[in-house]
Amino acid sequence: MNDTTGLEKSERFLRLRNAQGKNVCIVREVYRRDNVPCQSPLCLSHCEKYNAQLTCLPSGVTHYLVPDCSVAREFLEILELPEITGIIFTQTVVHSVQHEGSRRLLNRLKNIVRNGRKGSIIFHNEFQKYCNCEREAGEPLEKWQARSTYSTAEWYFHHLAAKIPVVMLTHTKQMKELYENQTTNVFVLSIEDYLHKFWSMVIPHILELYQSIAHAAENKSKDRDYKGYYPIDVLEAGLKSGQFMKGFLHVNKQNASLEAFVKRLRVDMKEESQSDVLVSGMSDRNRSIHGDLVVLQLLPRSEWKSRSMALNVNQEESTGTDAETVDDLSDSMPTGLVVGILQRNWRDYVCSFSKDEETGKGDSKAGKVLVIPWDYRIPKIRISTRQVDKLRDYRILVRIDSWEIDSLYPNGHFVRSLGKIGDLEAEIAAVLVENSIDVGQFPQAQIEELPSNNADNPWHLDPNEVETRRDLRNSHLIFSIDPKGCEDVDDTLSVRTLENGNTELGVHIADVTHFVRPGMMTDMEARSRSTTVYLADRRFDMLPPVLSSDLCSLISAVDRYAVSVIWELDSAYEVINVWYGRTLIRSKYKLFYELAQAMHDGMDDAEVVKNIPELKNILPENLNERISELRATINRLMEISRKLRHRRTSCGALELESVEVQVQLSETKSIEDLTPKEHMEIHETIEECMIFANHWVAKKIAETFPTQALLRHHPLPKTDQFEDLKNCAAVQGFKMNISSNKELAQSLNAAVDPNDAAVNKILRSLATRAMSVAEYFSTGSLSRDQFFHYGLALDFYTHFTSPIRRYADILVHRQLLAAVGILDSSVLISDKGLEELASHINKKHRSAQYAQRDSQELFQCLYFKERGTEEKYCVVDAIIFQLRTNGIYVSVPRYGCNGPVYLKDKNGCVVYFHKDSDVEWIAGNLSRTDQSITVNCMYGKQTYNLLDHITVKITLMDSWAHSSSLRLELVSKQAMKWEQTCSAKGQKSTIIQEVSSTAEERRAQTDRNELGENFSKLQQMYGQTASEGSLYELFESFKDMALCS
Amino acid sequence: MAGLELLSDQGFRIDGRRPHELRKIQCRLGIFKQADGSAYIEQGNTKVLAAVYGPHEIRGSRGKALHDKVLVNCQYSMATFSTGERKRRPRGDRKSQEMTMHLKQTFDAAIQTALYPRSQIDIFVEVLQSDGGNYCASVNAATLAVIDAGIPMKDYVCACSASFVSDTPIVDISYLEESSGGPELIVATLPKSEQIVFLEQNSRLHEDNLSKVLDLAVKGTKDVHHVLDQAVREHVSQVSAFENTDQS
Repeated sequence: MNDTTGLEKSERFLRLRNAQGKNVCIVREVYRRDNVPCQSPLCLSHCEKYNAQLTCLPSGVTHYLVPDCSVAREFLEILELPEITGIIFTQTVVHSVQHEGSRRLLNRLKNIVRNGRKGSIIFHNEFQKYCNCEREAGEPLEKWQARSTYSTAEWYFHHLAAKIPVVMLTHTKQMKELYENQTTNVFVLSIEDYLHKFWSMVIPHILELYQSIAHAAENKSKDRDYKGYYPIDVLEAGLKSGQFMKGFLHVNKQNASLEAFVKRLRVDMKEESQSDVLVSGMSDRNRSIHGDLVVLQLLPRSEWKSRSMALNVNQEESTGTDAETVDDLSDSMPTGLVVGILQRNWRDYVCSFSKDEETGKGDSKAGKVLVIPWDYRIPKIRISTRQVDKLRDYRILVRIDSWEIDSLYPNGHFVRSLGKIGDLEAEIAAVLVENSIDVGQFPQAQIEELPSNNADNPWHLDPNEVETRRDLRNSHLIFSIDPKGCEDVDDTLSVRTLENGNTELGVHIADVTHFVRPGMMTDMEARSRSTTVYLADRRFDMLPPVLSSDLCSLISAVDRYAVSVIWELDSAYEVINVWYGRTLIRSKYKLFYELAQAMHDGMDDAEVVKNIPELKNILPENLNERISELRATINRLMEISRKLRHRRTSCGALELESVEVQVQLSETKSIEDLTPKEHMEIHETIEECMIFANHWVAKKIAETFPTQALLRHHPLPKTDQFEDLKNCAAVQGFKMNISSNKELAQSLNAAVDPNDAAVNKILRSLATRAMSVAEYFSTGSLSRDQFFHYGLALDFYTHFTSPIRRYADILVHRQLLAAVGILDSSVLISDKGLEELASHINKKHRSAQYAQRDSQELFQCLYFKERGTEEKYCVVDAIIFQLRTNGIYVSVPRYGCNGPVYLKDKNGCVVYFHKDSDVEWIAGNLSRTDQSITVNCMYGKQTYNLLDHITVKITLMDSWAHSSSLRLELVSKQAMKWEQTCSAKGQKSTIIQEVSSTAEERRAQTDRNELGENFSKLQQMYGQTASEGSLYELFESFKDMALCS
Repeated sequence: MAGLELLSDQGFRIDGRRPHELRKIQCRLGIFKQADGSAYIEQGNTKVLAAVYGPHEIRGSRGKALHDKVLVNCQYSMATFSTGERKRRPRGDRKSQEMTMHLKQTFDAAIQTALYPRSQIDIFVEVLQSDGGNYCASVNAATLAVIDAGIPMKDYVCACSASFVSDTPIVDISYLEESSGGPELIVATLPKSEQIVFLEQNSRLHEDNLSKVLDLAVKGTKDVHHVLDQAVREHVSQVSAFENTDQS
């Protein structure tokens, strides 16, 4: 009964400095117990874990590792390696990392412990009666720390009945000598010996890594981080009083050495200055690096500068960039100076040696080399390595350690090499590292905990499980529609008429949570990956293949577990009733988009049979019936979704535009073509059903768990971002009303140029850029009026329909099942945990998006590299959408890319086209208004308006240290002459040269035949809003858009 | 103070307790001879002395006398050496006055006041060392002193504090936990009937979590009751043994 049994009270004296700066002696009590859990599966005395989510030490390791304080502080990076598991961090070490290290270091340590795959724990040795060592009077801190750590190592060894050896790592020689031979099988090793003996065979580069860290540590001065900045209390006081402001430093990619901006965090918004704050030049940036959380001091108004409006080429060596004239500059904006850094956000950087680096020649400090980061925004990094010659042609991974006040460049160390520059694998690896995506093989332990399904060991339904589920195998016609060749089918649909005449619509989603339970390795791995990453030529799954493309994938003709949402709709398709729950389904057909669309459009039966493998073995007399049944279902589905979509659009849902490019690879992995992705009505049908399901699930979980439901919201766009859109629209005489999503949708719909379908697309894509980013959040962390989804015009929205690809959906599945009483709600994560997780998932999604875009750019470059300069591919039509002082931004619909085009070169010459379309670069100047830019020279004037079509030539700008990029050159002021006439679907169909599906082509053909040449006009007036773009995918890609500006 | 983790992932508080564990309680009854009742209590490092005089006639102005029940007069004070920095004023400041009021309300509700109309009971509480939960320790000490004085009460009054840190309720919070700015709930109950005599809350706590925190605090008061009850029984058996030997 008495709580305090088994506890021993003692006291600890501390000397602290109080708020007034006086030294005070403080006594704090400490309670010690003998039952601090050891969290080891080898334990004989049944230590109980405090809570089930804590990780266990692994059972399959040869030894446990106890690092001492200095090792944990200086070599945490080595302990972070995924191969090294079973680390016991003592409380003493954690405190030392916290007080003598930094908060960032502490967070890294905590991340090791939270990462279930590392099998590492924090052990509260100071609360354990037998581990604790009282610090003796006059005992130096290091000595006491080492003593405590050693006694913990010893205790562990004895507690686990000598079943497993324990290794204590130390960096100091004396400690090693002191404790080396005290107990057998409790080894005390220096970190170098340890790595050499245990790991050098497994991880070949580990000793190099050790040396480069050790080297970097030697050069580190103790108080490096604080020199040149105001002390932290001054910063905090200044922030409170409003004298300083804080925000994340964002370096301008185009002008990395001069311009950086700080987006203000919401608190210090004053009405007079809404915009970002400029930090001009490297010295004002005061050793902060892109992404750091910095504190700024505003300069007096007289020293405010303005941002450059000129286009700038990224140069390998930035030389002489200050040649700007006054007319390049826009109005001056608030300018500030970095006075402190609250949080360093350094990550791993991909770097390479500059091409002409000479090895150590004339360099007194041997082996010091400057490397150039792949990311333009990061300054060069000084590393010390002796392998310059070996690594000259390689991309390498570098981490920054410090930046001393008297140095131009930060110091870093070499971690590992990624591969040869120009090699596809190395470039892909670079893309992944730059976006902080870590995708390795799935660990063996994870594969083992999952059920297997192969010829020897097939997977069966569990009869107990079957009983608890609603069986839809025979009652419903269930089918899936996905892209061709899709392996991870996570959504299926069903429609049928009920006896009372109402319609029943069902969305059946793969039941991933049945296989992935909280606390499993798979769950942890999926959580840390958060999403499947799709690169242009490959994908990195979130779940192991046995789940993602087999047991969870709702392929046809096999029994699968599902989570279903089933609505009963009345004749006007209003929802009467909704049912959520676990089901058992067997999909009848696995269709692909083109086929489903074709069936809707009236593809004849023989063709259908050819395309659906499920119909191969059906007797001919049943065949007709089956096909007409399926066809009717698809038509019905499309009808329902049209209605649902209409309802949503009338509430103000936006239709936006982005051109996605599909890389078509041939068998040998060379690039066949780049084609913009196509959209058909059936895409929208599926999307609409998914949005509908997501919406209803969101409603349910938000009702049941008002403080801890995972939803997705899309905040209002920033109004000042709409300038470009307004300018462009004004050229064509359209007016954009941006006051609400409905108004915006209407003005976008009205802004159609009958002669040029591209205009509307450009406007929509500009609108997309102005959108803010949709994000996951926990309902407990935001006020209710922020739950809405602006783009979809819904009050609640979440992600539910792709649990194979997104971790958020898994969480939502668990919440839904708890909401309907199938799961115990104790498995749910609390509000705070969920909010942290939501921001992790948001971050991962964003980086997956960036990685996808980067990889597409990479492939674009490869494509043009292979094609060389053939006109057929390189000379394309482009549309102007933004004006700058020395050039214009254009969009190239054929390849779905944007880029700058210069009208004025570095020598100040401007471009002029003669009548016979000869180009000449001559002296002249440019004048710019809101809507046009004019070239003035001795021959006369030439004006470029927004939304004009021009012809550009694409060339490849090869780069050594950075990613290669495309360069657009002006070829003609006129739109490109197309050999083909504009076809029904306007711009889009003309630019698609390889139509991937025959069915689609046929459809376009039939449409055109029926309506004749007026089709395009009619289509715009009466047609479905088919070709406007995929909303569902689009809101996914908003994140992407935010980058472009 | 920044960066202190009040509750680690492993479920330990800064001083090594689990969220539901009380600090160590040590107490003695009858430590002063002159007072009618007295007690000393240590809850962790919070140390409190209590002395009770009465019931006796009303001292001072007669007008204060209540015709149907006893007047409970309390005084709360903190020794100048009780805190990390020496206090200037041991009693009479705002905080002490408030505490005095609260103590009075609490004991008004717990003592069977109707038994002694037109008389007075004095309860003096002195905090010798302060380390969080001063009010709770004061109530607990005063209860013991009232028992020692032999004044009839409805039940023991036991007080306990609780807070809410990273989604977990924690009981009997120390000074460090108090001063971190989280919510603080103080409750005094009659443990047997689970009636709440006194409830105070500082800073914000979400409604949904209130019942969790309150339940834990009430459980804390029961645990305190258990300790106090044992101490009282031990004291009584000692005293009676002593008196028996005295008589023989």
